[in-house]
Amino acid sequence: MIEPVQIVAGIVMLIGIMRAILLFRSRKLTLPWFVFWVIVWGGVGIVAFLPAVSYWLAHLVGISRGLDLLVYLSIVTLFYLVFKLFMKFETLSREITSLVRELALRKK
Amino acid sequence: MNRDGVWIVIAAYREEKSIGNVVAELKKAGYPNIVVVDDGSKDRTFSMASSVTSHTLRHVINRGQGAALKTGIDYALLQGAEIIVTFDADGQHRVEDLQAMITPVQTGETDITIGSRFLGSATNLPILRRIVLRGGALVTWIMYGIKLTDSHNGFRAMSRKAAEEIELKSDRMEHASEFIDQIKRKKLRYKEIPVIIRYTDYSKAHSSQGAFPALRIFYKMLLHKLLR
Repeated sequence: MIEPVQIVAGIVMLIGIMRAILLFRSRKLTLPWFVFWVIVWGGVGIVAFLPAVSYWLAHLVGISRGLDLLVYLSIVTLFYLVFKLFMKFETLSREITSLVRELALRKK
Repeated sequence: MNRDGVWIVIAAYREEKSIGNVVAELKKAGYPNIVVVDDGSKDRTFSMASSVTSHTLRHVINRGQGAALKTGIDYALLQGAEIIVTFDADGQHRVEDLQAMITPVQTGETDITIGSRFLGSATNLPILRRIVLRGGALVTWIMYGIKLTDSHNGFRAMSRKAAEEIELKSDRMEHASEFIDQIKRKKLRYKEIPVIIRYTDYSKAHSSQGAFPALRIFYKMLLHKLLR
């Protein structure tokens, strides 16, 4: 018996992995990030079709419900991505400033 | 005292009303080298500044006071400045205080002088700003171990050597704290000089030193401290 949520998760997984492959092949994604996204989307599929895996993993780290583990992991991942973005933003901001400065000095 | 090696750097953002007078006043007092960095203003700041000094630079987009000052300092260094002074564009600093700021650097007594409105007598200093600035000085002391009576004063003079060593990375207002951090890191000698700040309605309206920006600066200071 396949639940509707499993169909959705399956499609999401397929689209996610396919996109990652395409991006990796056109070299818009580096290998570590490619692996990261395959694990993320693959994980979505595994948890959807084999809920027991998430249950087992949750118990391994001392959390009673598989879904809770998923939520915790998502939050941690999101925080990490926000942090990365934030750092990137700061770097970009500094680079723009050097560019603007260089322009100002050159025009003199 | 020779003033040819003295370069005064002014960062100006939307200061078309005051910049002309500020530069003219400095020139009249006998300081020939004035650098104005227009920080991407949409008003006539650039043309007003250009009409009174030939050393006018323009940021094509607004990058903040710290960024503009650094551009001006870099330019002054390229021009062979011996002493660099940072001065505000809104007329809150007095030309009369310049000599007292420059002399200790010129004689080699210290590397950097920082203006203090609390050692002197500030005219018309609003009470909230007084509290915020005192708080800022306290935070600076706790975080950097440098005791100043006034940590966020934009009036400074520094030797060429100090200007070359100081690395300013903050674009916005927190550069004042970064400046102090650099003094500490590069083990530069500093001295506070009493100056009088003119709090006019114009400078009050144009300044960004209220309680809220102060909190933002504090947050940025913490962040830089943690990420360094």
